Amino acid sequence: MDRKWYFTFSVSVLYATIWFFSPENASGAFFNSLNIFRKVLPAFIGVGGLMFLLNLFIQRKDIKEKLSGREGSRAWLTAILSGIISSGPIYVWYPLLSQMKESGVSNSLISVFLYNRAVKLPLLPVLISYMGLRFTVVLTVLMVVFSVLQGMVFRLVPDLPEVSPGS
Amino acid sequence: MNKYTKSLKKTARGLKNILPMIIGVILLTGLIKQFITERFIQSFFTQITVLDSVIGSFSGSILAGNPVTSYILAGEMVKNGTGIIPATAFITAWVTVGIVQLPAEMEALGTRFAITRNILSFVSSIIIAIITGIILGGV
Repeated sequence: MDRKWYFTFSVSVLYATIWFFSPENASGAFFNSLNIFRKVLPAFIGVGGLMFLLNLFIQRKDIKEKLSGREGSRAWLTAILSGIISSGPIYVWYPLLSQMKESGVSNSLISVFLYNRAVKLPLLPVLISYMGLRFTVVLTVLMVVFSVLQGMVFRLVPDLPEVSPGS
Repeated sequence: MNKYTKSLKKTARGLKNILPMIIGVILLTGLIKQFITERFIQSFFTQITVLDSVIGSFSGSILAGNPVTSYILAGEMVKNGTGIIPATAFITAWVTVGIVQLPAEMEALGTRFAITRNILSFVSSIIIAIITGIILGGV
């Protein structure tokens, strides 16, 4: 079996075990998963489309030049804003990020992007209704600040070598 | 091969590489949603702010799903007197740390990167919670 399937296989074994003891919980969990899959599918297709456009119009060396090495405040701002406006679960973004990392985008910018995904613009009204406006503003600002701090920590750490999905 | 086909093939390869992991993460998320209820999460909190902050961050880290769920749970935590710091730690860890997604993140972005990022996010969720508490007068 391909190494990539180990995790899914382990979860399937877990399902089978639960099915043995409690079939209704196993089927409930499976239907939850189907619902999640349905919700995630459009985002996954969207990310696929973005990857296609990225591969079509932007060469690896362009990404490397713009987002790595000499990364300035513009690159960091791009990472923050694209993290904030990106939608869908985090894992649907992994293929695109993996590809960008292979193209030379630094760990700091990827971590900034991932952290800013925590700021969910469309969900802010919900957060305000449960936790209040002041809380929402403070938390949002802190999250953006900490995303930059995390990026800076990654900048200090020597570049972490492995990238290689599928290698 | 023209550039469209080349680009399409490259995209398909990228998606194919991560798809098995994503299927696993979705199946595991379904399982967590089935077994971990709101009441179950609430039962872990002790009303001791420091301990509850760590519990908040920890439970936020292992749970996965729509962030709205974390907002609702955090709102309930505050109503029940758990305090703003643990509630903030819970929300922040929910959206920044991903134990369930960790295998997929390791596969896509590298093991060291994924682990370092999640540890940093876990620690910062506690720091953010404390700062939020201080600013909002929750301490």
